[in-house]
Amino acid sequence: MELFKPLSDLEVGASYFFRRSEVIQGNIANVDTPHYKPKDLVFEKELEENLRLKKTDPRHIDPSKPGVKFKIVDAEDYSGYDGNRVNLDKEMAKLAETNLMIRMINEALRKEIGKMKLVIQGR
Amino acid sequence: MIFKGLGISLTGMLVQRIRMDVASSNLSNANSTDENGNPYRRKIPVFEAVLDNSGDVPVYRVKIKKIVEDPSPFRMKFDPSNPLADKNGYVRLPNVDPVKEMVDMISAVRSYEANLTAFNTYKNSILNALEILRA
Repeated sequence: MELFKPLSDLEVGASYFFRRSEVIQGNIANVDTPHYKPKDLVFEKELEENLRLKKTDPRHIDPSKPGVKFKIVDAEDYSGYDGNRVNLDKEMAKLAETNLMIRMINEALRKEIGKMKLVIQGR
Repeated sequence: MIFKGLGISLTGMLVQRIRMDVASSNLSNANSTDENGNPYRRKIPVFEAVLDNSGDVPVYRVKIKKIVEDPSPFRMKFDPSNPLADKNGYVRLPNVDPVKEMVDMISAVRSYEANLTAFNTYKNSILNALEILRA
């Protein structure tokens, strides 16, 4: 439904940042694992049109969620004596960034829901 | 598991705790011998990344693959009065270097703290998301 479009868009963003947080936490957990390469999650939006399902029958459920592809990439960084390439400061900074983005999206969601409430209840 | 991030950081904290345990065990056995008179060998935990493909995004946990023994030679100390001394008067002592163990313990504490911070950050994100319900 068009009314709830902002909510589902924000939900995609929140889900991405939660997943990214998990990947970064995996890097931090493996900070002393030999030969471990840090991973990161990228958000590919170009594929949205290609991934969207076609509705060939009126009984099909409308694919309302935008097609978003999450892709894991190996980040190349300096290598320690044990072949581990995790840069702890960088990972902590990325984690803080992810946390702030989640807070921002949550705030936007709250505002959006508040507006809907206002529309429903009136003043 | 919904809150997967908590479990990931938890494995990180767990392995660092085991690493601390191994280092303190090495430190306390710096002068020990076993029942056959052989010196204690220094133990080293080996970490391994574990791929978790259960969700829509693959994530990595960490675990202790194995605990290996340090193959480096034993310390030799000249002490002819010791009952374990060989015919030249030398006693074999464990290949534990207390300085190395202390450094390892400090490093483990720092990594533990990093995992704890990551755990709390993720927890705060979830709590913040929970606040949406009260909007």
